[in-house]
Amino acid sequence: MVEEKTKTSLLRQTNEAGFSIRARHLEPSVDLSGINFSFGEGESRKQVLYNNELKLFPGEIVIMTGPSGSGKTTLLTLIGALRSVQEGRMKVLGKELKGLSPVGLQQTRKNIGFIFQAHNLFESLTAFQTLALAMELFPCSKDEFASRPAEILRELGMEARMHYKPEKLSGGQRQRVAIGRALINHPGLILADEPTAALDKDTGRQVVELFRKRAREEHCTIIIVTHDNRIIDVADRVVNLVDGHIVSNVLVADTLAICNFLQKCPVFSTTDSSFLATAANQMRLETYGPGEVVIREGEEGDKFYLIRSGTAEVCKNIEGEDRLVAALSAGDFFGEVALLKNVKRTATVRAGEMLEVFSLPREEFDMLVRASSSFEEQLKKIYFNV
Amino acid sequence: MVRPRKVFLATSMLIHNRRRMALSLGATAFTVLIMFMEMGFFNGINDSQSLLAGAFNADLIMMSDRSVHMNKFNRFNRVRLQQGLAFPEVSEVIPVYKGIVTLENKETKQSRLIFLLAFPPDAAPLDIGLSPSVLNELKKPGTILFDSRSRAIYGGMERDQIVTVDGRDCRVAGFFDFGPNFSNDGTILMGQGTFLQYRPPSSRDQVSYGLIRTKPGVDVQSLKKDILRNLPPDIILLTPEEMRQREVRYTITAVPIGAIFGVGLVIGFFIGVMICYQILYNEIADHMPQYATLKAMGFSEKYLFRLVIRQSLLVSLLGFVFGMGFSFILYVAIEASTGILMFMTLGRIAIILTLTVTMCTIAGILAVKKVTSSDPAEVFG
Ligand SMILES: Nc1ncnc2c1ncn2[C@@H]1O[C@H](COP(=O)(O)OP(=O)(O)OP(=O)(O)O)[C@@H](O)[C@H]1O
Ligand SMILES: [Mg+2]
Repeated sequence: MVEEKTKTSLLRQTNEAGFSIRARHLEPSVDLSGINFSFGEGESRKQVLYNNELKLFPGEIVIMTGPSGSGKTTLLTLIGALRSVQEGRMKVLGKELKGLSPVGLQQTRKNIGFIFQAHNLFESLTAFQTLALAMELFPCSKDEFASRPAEILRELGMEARMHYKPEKLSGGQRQRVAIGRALINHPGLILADEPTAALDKDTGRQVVELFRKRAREEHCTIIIVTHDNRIIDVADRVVNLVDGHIVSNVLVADTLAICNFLQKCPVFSTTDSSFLATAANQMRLETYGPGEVVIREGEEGDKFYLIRSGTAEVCKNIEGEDRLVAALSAGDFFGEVALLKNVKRTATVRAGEMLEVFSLPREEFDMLVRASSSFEEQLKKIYFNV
Repeated sequence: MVRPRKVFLATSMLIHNRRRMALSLGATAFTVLIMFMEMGFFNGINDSQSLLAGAFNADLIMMSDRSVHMNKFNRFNRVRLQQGLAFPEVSEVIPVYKGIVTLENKETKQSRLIFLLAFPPDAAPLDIGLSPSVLNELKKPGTILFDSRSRAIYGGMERDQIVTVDGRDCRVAGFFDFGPNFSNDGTILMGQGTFLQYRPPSSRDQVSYGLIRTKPGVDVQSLKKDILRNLPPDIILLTPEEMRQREVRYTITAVPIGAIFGVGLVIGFFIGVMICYQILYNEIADHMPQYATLKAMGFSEKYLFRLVIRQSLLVSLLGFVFGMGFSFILYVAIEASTGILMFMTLGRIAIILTLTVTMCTIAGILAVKKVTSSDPAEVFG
């Protein structure tokens, strides 16, 4: 129990700069890369996912958003072992799904809780029986068989309707039965497509709380596809999918931290915070090993960087000799000069120890700078010393 | 409340939709009924047709080599019977005469054909529950016994009534229980004396069957070979059981009527497969999202297969019980109205039950393809 607590707190820790950190040994529960997916064959072939990469960790509540038709459901079905992976690597709960047999996929699905938009309950089974049926996937004792469904239904506020069949239940109650069915076997991964769409504010909240509890206590990874703004605040991570590309993948804690840091950055001190948040969401995480070069003096500048964790060394070539001019650590940023002045890189930045940086491409950086009302003055004041 | 350890999904799905369950059970019961009827007629024909063969009270029956089934009226010379008696193992030989005669219906004045058997009354050649006193009546000239289960076409019969048989008056001296078949509408028995009295002298030593009774402890099969070896080849010998089986074989293979019901049984079976398949298919089609959900949850194809098969077995067993009940009622009614023997034996019930279960299982296997084709990815979004 003590160990559990430490693990929980480890998951929630932040470093001195305010970025969330997790235990080094923590294996991702979902780890995919190079995922391409197409529907159809030949002429009618239509690609819906393009070279996607995503790492999700135990205990994370991930909210996936994106316009209709962007491939969210498709990605979810791939992660959920409901479709065969066509191209790329897809490791779910420690198992590689690429090339897995139908039986292998089926075995994997036993450990995943699905919450569907259409809940597809058997109209002949009561809420209690629906949950009990799902328990038949795993051996369990007679006592558990009688108590667990009741327990979960109680947590979902369904105790009064425990022995009702779907025809006697409202849409929201049915939805909760389907949620109970997904949770009953305590899966390591829960995939939910619009789980709160049919729920009112209070029950939606109740469900979200249950999700949060599961994530905290059992370190279960929960992926929720939703447009429901009311639940966005439970997210540890927000993944945005547009036209089959994951265009942003951010840890909420990190976004907040990034915003804070950007705000401190003199260029953006007057920039509207909503622009900062947008920029924060567009920053990509990059990792460098000790000694690896992030930017090199004299090269074309194309990104702006903010250090998430680790340290970096800044070197300048002074009279033909590399000189260390500064040491950077979490929360520091670099790379802005080349972008602002439109010159080549003025220094080389090298990773000290393991370095994690957020990078913002030039176009987004420029947009952000332009959004800063007093940009011209700022620029002059700071960089041209006018 | 005590709750069971398992969720009986198949059962609950089945009974949830009362209307469909009634339909499924009705349809299955109907096919069971069809199969029982076809089999009933099939067996009824065989049973009735071969009834006489099995009823002969003898160890061996001698007949003309051309008498290949019971509707043949070839005769042989009774000398052969006397030659048979010469074998030391034989204790007794009995001549039996058969023929088709006319019997006038007193009410309509119409003459109808009827099957006739004649024999020496003392010999008691038929095992059909005739009491010695009734048989004794046949010793009196001009008497007959009338099969009270003959079809109604002969009109009402009373004891001591005078009837016209082949234009001659005879007295009904008593009744017996035998029953008609597809070739004969009724049967009368006659004493040998009465029968021969009406025959032209030239045909008096021609007999239809010769019943041979052996002394105790004799091996019938080797005696049969022995007699056949020693007698001219214009006769054949059969035990009553062999004769019965020959008769069944004949009605099945040579006479279309037996085959028709045999084919009917097979067709009934396949219709049953199709009906069951259709019902299961609809049931599955209606629950495709649910089945796909079970698949998505990680239930194996084997689980789904068992689920469908369990449903089809439930339907088949329940349908069978109802179907058998109806069939029983119909059997009784048909036997009462047509006189054709219709009865169920454990063996016959077992056959139909096996056919029903096989039928539903085949339907289940065909229908389960639909379940396995369900795409679990479809339920998402
Ligand atoms: N079974 C299928 N066959 C062919 N094309 C499909 C199939 N399923 C989805 N698509 C297409 O793939 C694209 C992505 O669909 P997907 O359902 O993943 O989008 P989504 O992000 O979940 O959208 P929504 O928010 O509307 O649920 C869409 O263009 C859709 O038309
Ligand atoms: Mg969708």
